[in-house]
Amino acid sequence: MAAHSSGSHPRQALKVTFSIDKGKIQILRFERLPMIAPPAVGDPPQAGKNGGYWIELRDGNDRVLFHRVLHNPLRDSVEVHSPDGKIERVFGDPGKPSVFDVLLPDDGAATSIVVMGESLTPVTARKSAARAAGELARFSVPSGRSGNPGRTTP
Amino acid sequence: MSTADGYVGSTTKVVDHGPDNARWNLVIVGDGYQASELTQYYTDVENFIDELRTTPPFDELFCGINVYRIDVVSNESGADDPGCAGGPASTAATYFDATFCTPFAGTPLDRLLSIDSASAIAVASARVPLQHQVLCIVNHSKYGGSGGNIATCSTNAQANEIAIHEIGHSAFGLADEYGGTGAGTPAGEPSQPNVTRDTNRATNKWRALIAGTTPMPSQCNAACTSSTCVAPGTPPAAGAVGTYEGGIYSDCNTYRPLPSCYMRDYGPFCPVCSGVIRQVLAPFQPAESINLTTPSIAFTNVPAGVGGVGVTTHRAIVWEVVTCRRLTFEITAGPTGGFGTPLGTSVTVTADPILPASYARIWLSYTSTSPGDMANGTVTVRCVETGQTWTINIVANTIARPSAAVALVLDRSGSMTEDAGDGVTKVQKLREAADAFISIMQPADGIGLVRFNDDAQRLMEIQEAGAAPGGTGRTTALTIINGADLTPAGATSIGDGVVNGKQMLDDAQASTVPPFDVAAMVVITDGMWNQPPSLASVSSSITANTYAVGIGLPSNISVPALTTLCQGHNGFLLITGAITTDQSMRLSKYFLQILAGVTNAQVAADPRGVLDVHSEHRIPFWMCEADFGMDLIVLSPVPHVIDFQLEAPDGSRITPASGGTNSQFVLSRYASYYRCALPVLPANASGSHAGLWHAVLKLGRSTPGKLTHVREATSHAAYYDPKRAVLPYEFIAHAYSSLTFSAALGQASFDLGAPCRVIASLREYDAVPLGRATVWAEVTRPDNVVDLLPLTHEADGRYVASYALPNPGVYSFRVRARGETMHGSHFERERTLTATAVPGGDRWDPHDPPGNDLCDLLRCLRESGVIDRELAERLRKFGIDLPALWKCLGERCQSASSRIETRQPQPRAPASLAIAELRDELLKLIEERLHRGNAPPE
Repeated sequence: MAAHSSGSHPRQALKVTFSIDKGKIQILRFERLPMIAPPAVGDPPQAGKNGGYWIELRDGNDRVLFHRVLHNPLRDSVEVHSPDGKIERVFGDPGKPSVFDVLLPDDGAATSIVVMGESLTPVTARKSAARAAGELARFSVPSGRSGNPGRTTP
Repeated sequence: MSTADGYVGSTTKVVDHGPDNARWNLVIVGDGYQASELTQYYTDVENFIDELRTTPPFDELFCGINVYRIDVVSNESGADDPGCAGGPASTAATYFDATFCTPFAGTPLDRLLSIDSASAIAVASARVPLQHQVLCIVNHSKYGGSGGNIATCSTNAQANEIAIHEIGHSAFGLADEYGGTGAGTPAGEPSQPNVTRDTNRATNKWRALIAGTTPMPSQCNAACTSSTCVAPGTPPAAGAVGTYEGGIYSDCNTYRPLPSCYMRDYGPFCPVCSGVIRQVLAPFQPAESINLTTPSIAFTNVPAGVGGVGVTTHRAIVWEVVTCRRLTFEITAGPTGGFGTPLGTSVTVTADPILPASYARIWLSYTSTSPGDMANGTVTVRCVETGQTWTINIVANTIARPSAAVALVLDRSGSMTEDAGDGVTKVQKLREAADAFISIMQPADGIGLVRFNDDAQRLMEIQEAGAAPGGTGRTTALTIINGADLTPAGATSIGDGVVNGKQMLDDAQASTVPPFDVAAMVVITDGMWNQPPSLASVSSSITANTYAVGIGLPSNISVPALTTLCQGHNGFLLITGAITTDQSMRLSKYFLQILAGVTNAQVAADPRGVLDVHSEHRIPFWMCEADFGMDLIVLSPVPHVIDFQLEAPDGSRITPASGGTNSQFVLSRYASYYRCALPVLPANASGSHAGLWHAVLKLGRSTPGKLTHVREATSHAAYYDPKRAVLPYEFIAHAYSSLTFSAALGQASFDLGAPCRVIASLREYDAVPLGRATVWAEVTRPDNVVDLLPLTHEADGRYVASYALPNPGVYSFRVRARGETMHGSHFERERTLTATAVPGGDRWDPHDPPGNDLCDLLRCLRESGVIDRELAERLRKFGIDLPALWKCLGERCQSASSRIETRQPQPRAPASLAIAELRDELLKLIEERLHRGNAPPE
């Protein structure tokens, strides 16, 4: 199976830097860049059904335009690798804010950035991932070329 | 330990598959590399790129990826290692503060190697704003790494796997496929594409990859006691995508697509993960394009072979291909017209590992026949994957072997009687070298002779050399060379020699039908030109390829003018320096370098040795399938006492008595040689063509008991060492070949410390050699210290290096190439070049030859009667002894009434400087005496 470019992918992306600290998430900064944002893969996860974390771009009618699965956005675990191929994951409270970038397509129809997930609390604090994901935070798509909105949500 | 512990250096796009705004951009930074370790960093980066590029599915997606390397330099090497696992603790001041034993949730984890990722991302984003992923390679051999915002790995051989696994998370959103206790496992269906709780083949997220025969679930985890998994009655086929229990940190009730995957245990990415990676990188793949760049193939003017054996030449049908997949081009019809397909009828290409486009080549071959023959044909090629077809026309013709007319322009000025440095006069060296040159010339080549001292004369018009030995032109030239016409006397009018040589060649080309294919002039001199016309004034009118040899030290030779003359006319200048007894045949060897240049022969080997009565020397040299002829030459003052045989790659022996259509042995006064067509033994073609050959040399004739070397050799006392009974020789292997190597030196300045640039080029047929090739130079400095100078491959078979010349004298550059041909045969090539450095070496004005102003002045004064008895008497009163001064200046000027050679016998400053010093001293002396003369004489 070979991948082929259609050559029609928009070369405009929105790079958003999030921070999660003490159960709160905020956008630290954003920047519009002339580059291709990696596409969404697979069916969009659904609140109440899926676990894990992802980000959605939604339009004014709250329809999901795009989603991106996030890997361990709370940074509440680390992998310990081994040359024998046996990988382990160690969970715990990182004790410091998690800061991470997400590259989204700069879709003019998008009005909201929605953070979906199980919790904004590290796994040890909540003992286990006991519930499926739901909406954790919602932000307006920032305008301008770049900036530091500094908005927080509970 | 922070960003204060180093600095950020340059940024290099090491993989350039297109503009950043259309590709997926990986940025690599290093930590713990000191400035002196950047070369190692580059290697480590290349190793990682190779690992990523060859890991499926990246191998078919790599054309959508750019890679940047940022050179981050740390004050100290390595990384912190607190020794949390019991080893010794160590610290290193590094830019990104890399450390093992990174504490997490209060516990230090030995193999958790982390850095200041915020700083690394800031550096990467500042240098490459459109980056998609950042990787940090930490200069430490201990196994370790980490993920998160950036991937981190050490230089341990297995640590690249960590980085690729972590990139699987951060760039492609893949989940871990290993199990665990369930901590961290999502309660619902995982959102990641490669793990699931769903074993229903109708709803499973990767159901498109599950065969109907694969049981669902496909495998239960026997170690799991709380699972609802029902083991299948029949296990799935090996490699079948299904649902295998255990994944995303839980051993129970979670499933992965295959038992093994990079996201579980560094095994190959499973089809589900591969599909995700393909999907993510799809928008970054360039649009596929295939352009035929050779709509027709022309084997134009292929020379008839040596000894009647056809010359086989290759040309490639070439497509410029931008693709991310494997594309196969195959011949579906032809080639007609008798053309061959030496490397097969199909070729498969994929993306170039570094550049945006790659090239597909299908090679065709043509073997020359008789001069005047022509051939035509066509070949049709199809691209299997796209279905495109191309029909390419092929034309070819055979011509007679190119012939060359050579004018030897020979210095016979008075200084040619001087010792060349090894007890033999320069003129004798010249005779020996010219003798060997003329003896080895091809029969169809032309030879002409010009001599010069005060002015120049044409000794012999261009004539075809004729058979070797005994051809009329060759014999005539040899007689002149060894006769009285070259008896040294007089001054050095190189310019007049060049004018006569040029005119001789022009006349020959005008009168010879057909004219020679190549005209070449070889100028040999030991001095400065000091008689008009200037070299600069005649240079522009020359059309022949022009070579020059300077005998002696560069300070005594018109190096800049000769260099300009040669470099402007496809030739080169060689300076012998002082000839020493251990390299007594250097001038002859240089002549053969020029002969190779004139006839487009390739130098495949060029060693020298010393034979004694007990030794047999086996000199190895390589021939490849691209070679179609060869001259194997032994230079010696007494070549007839050397038993010279050849040993083919299969061990077959070729002797002077072998005869045959493809080999000829020629013995001349100062050289013996075999002239061979390849294969040498047509009945044994495979064993007498490509491979390792040997020249086998020993003293004495091959007839037992008839060693005649001692009597013969002792008559050449300058070469033969009677105490040790040894005889030096030089061996040179010339190949006539379709694999060509050229080298040139560029000197913008001849002053001390100025750099020279070495440029070499390798071509195999009409392309860069497909096999690996290494090019380097062995630089012998004036103090005989040898430096090795690697040449860097720039592009398209072009290699370059720069070398400074700090000391005065001659630098000999033996520029060498070694590699493999497209057929995998070993080849070797070399060229000898010289560069020179002289204090004040740039002061020559080519339009103002360095005349001896002082001597000219004195001669003028004397001849015009200005210095009469009265003046002599007045000078005497001032203490100046005019007769003694005349004598002194006479020695300096050689003769006040004759023209002078402005050379200095010692290797010091250029002649103009020495004369200037003398003049200044004299004026100072006169001024001093005149000043004293203002006082009343005593």
